[in-house]
Amino acid sequence: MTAGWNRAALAGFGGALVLLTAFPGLWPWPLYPRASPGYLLMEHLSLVGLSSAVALVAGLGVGIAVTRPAGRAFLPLARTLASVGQTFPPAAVLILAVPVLGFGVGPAWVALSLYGVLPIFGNTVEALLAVPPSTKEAAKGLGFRPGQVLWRVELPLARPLILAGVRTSTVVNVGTAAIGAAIGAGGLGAPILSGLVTQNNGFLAEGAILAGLLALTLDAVFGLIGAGRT
Amino acid sequence: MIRFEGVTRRYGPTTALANVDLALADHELVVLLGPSGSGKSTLLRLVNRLLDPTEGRVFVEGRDVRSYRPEALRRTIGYVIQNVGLFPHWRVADNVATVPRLLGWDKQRIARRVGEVLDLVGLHASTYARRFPHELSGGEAQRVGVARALASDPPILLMDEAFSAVDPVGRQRIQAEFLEIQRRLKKTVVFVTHDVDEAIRMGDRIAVLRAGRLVQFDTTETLLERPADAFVEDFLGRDRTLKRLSRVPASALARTVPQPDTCDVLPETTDLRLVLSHFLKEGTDVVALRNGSDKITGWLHRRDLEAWARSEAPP
Repeated sequence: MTAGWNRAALAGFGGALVLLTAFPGLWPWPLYPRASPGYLLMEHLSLVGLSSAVALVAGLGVGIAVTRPAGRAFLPLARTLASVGQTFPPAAVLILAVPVLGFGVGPAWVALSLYGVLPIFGNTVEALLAVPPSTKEAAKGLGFRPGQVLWRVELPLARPLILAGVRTSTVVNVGTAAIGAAIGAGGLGAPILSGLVTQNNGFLAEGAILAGLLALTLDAVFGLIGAGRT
Repeated sequence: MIRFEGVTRRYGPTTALANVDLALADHELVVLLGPSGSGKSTLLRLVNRLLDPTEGRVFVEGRDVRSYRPEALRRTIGYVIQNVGLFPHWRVADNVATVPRLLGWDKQRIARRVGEVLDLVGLHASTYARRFPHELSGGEAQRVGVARALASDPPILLMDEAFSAVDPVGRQRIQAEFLEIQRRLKKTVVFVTHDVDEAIRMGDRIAVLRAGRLVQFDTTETLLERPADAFVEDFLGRDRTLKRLSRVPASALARTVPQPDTCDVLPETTDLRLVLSHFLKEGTDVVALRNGSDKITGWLHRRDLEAWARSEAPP
């Protein structure tokens, strides 16, 4: 049922997204003039894609590191930092990045990556800690090397929860990236910001609708990946 | 085959094992028996280097285990644990194939072996091979655990409370089945349990541990006849004599002089404890014994049974 829903959502939202960017003439009101919807979407996607990829590698890597015997000492610290970090509103993360990193796409990437790490890291840690000790013990006792225990037993068992973290992180990132326009990162936030400043609801709706459709489409994609294999 | 020399293992300030010497012969099933915290599991885990001793040495096939790479050593030693530890994301066949795959066997050989070894533990491959662990009963999962440990045909088997999670009825069945497998395969087995009845049923020899020390190491019969001290005597239970009787088949005390009276007939493999139970219930003093092909092979008298129970009892 969920797979059916995800497939329908992907077709519906993804289809709408493609149509509205490929055929700007479909919009019944004047659009943001400085860039086409397609260009804005690509800019937005690159912002989200790169930062989510960095977040995935970092979150997964740190999550694995602090659950190994050698890194175990850092587990409480890392968990505390992650939960504290998650209490920052995304806007604050972006704005705080400015004094340190300045304006532009680079700082937005860094801020989005940092913010996106948190759910992935959190879920990776919880998922790895939830693998039954008897299962790990058996794997070790049967002669798996530590890396084999991780790749063949722990990560496959942790996979659904980690994917859920990636899904949350990416979808939230789509929204946060829209705020990135405020620090000059472009993307779908640009028409929103411009609409707010010039009180043009058409620009505002253009950015908001496309960002919403993008979030729903990515959510459906991850839903399908998660349901794809057991 | 397996030898512990002056083995001590400490965890911080606590001593889990204190200067234990123990040697197992090839092909015997040795039970490590003791209450929780006695160090029996620690001792077992020294064999496949899940732990290393703080002092002393452990030898497998004459070689110090520290001269092996841990993973290589473990792949040559079967290992069964209490909560089975089947990999939940793998089917039964993949679970059983774990060690052969680690050893790099070819696919055909693995497939053949998985079928064989599932058959050995009484699970039909056609029914079970494609199942996931959550589709198995506790007893079935434990059988798969044994099959997985036997898959690469290792000479040594370590079993840590292997049947403790199975319900009592299922446990007796799986114990009997395992003894039958052991009778055929003749592995060297280290079997950890806190269950005295299980120890007596399974063990060729029993090592009793208490607070990290080896208190007594004897054949099961000797242990029941002559417990080394009050602790062992207490641990074995006050019905020790009945337990001794349970180890001996009726045929051991049979007389061949035919009895004129009509009397009840029991299989000659019935253990003395059940024969005594029969005497008590029926109020009789003699039973006839029959072999597998229903021929009468002898007669067992109540006075012989009582004399045996008294004769070797401790002073």
